[in-house]
Amino acid sequence: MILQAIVVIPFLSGLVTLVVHQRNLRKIILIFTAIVHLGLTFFFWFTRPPASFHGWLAVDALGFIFLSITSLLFFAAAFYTLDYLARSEQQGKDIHSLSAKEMLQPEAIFLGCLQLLLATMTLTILSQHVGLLWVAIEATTLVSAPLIYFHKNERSLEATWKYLIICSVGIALGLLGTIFLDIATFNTAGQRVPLFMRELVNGAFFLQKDWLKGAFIFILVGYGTKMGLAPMHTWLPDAHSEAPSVISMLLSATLLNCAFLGILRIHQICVAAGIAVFSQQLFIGFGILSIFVAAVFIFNQ
Amino acid sequence: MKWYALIHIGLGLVGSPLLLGIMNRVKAFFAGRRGPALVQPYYDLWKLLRKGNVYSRTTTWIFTTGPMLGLAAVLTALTLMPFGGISALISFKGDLILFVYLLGITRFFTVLAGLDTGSSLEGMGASREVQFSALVEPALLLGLTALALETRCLSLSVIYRQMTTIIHPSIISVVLLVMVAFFFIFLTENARIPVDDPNTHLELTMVHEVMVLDHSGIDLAIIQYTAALKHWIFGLLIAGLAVPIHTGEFWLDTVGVLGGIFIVAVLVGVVESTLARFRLIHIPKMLVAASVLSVLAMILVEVSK
Amino acid sequence: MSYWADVIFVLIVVLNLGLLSSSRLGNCIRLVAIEGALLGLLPLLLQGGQPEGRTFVFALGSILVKGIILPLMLNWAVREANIFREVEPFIGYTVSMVIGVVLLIVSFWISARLVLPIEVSRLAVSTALFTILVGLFLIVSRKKAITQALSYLVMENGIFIFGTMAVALETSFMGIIIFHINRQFEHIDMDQLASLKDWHGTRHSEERT
Repeated sequence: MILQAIVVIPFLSGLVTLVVHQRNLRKIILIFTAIVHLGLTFFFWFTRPPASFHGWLAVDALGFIFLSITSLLFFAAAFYTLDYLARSEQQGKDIHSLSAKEMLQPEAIFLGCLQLLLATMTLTILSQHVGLLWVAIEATTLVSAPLIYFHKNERSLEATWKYLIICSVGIALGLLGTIFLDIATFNTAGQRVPLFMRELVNGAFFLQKDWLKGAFIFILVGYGTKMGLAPMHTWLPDAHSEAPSVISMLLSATLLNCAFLGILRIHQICVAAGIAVFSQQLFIGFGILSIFVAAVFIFNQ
Repeated sequence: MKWYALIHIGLGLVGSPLLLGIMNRVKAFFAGRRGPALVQPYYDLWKLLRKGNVYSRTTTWIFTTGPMLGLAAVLTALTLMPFGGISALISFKGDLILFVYLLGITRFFTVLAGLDTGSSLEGMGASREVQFSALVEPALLLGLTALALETRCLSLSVIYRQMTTIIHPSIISVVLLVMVAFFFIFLTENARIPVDDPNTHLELTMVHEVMVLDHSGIDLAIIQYTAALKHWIFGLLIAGLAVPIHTGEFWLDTVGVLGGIFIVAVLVGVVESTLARFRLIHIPKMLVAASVLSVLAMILVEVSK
Repeated sequence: MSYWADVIFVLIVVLNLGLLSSSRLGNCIRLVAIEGALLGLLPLLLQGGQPEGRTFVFALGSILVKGIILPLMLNWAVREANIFREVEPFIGYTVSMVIGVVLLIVSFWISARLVLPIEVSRLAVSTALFTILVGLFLIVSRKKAITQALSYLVMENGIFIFGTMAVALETSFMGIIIFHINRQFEHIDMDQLASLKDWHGTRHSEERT
């Protein structure tokens, strides 16, 4: 019950913020959501909540760390946003003498999507079903796109389009990996391991190793696109530079974590299945590639 | 000697100009006219045979012998071509390669005769014709290879005989793909719309017609007759696949395949009436598509084994 | 029954090859719509025995969205942006078709080497792989934003074929719903992209700053 609250409350308040007209009321709702979310997370530190929805949502050790980080950062971001919005509007009026309507996305969309982002990120962290994890990550992509497009100019439009299409392709590959994982659960005896994390880890011995390896590769590449692993990182520089600084912070500190969580989950399964060396080598490989690419481009700059 | 194959060759020799008549009639029907008589091509050939030849001074013996060599090659190809499920006059292992290259020889001598005139106009037509043929040959070979893979033999007659006995749904997609590829090849080799307009007399748009522009009299009759025979042969290629009946009864099968050829002629007439000629740079795309369909058919044959 | 599924797979391969060579946007949209509608029929055919009621609903929904609603939205976007042909892409059309054949051979080769724990035909796996590869290739080699969105749909069609094989209909179901929502977003974006028709490189943006 409590667990559902931590997802549902930001979701509902996000939807409400989209339709509310009064500006101050919107900001109050945002602050309220941030406080409630942080409060609930704090509460979980003391009393572990039980799993809900027949095990679809639960907080395990890994999820705890990510949830705490996300909650804290969102709390700080919420307060910063208020100041940021005021200053943007002022800047728009002074420098360009444009109305906020022409230059900036409506505040309602911005604030609403911000809370929806919190909701979907929490859903990602809490999800124990691999398919639901995928749905949640796709949802985070969708709700974060309008956030990048806050300053309505051509550059940020291009950045948003790049973000949308590259991350969508990546997440589609992640879906392919999830389907491969599903295929891996078929074995010759005809029994199937359900796609929940605990069952997958416990029954990892019975998974088809080849399909598990294929699933890992596709999930690594797919969610790695969202995470910013080279060579799938090309949307990152544009999106992070064009987005408002608050969004940039949230993207890099919390959203990337969620994508990384997806990768870590399947790594857990691989470790339980005994092919940990395979996944570890791929991790090291991609990591070195990312550092190498960064080093080369630093030289260029 | 298979006497019944002689009957088929005779049918081909006599009936091929009729195909041209059918196509013209269909086109006229679409245009709302009555059109020429079905036997008009015969009258045209007879008229041309009675006329004298005019030779330009720049031409050599190649120009005079080219058409005849072309006709000889096509006649040889006709003896190799099976009539639906019934074997051809001559058949041996690997005759499908000979078949493709006999058609190539025909084209070669036509092109050579065209170049021999020394006219740049015919040179242009020759170069276009050769460009298309360079893309058609792999398509034709690949299509025949797909059929050969399916039936596991390399002789045209055996291939077509097998195709008419294995009427299994799983190979229908292969047969359909190869038939579509062969249809594209038919349109290209016989210079039909959308590849080439046989009725145009504008120099810029001619491809095949311009190559044979300088021939007259008996040579022109031979060239037109060769073209008709090519129509017949390619029509047999398609109709042999399309009519999958092999009742064993000779005349029934013959009539069936004849019906198939005439349907192909009508279909070509319809295509000619409804489409415009493609731009020259789009025609290679169509031919590559024909090759691709053949390759797909080959892959499907392997998969369904 | 599986014979009809094979016919659908062959048709999809031919449609993909046609997509590789087509430069007219209206044509491309129509091809993808036919592909989507054909794929909507697939769950019904692969179910085997008696298809359940929810499979019918699922199939009908897929055909409706992929075959009718999405093409309508895409056509509307094309008309709004007033573009009808693709500009000369990075890789020419005839070369694209030949590359398509190479991808086809590659996907058949890969599917021959996969060990499948479930009962699916080799043709199904090959078609799925081929469609995904064609979608990826088109995203990379085409310049217009609308064609890129279209190629994303093609890729998603390929993943859908894989989804129908892994009889976990829940996964495919959720996947489809999210993809639909995704496309709605992309079409809202398309409206604003009317001013942004080509794919600018990052260098272009750097010049601006």
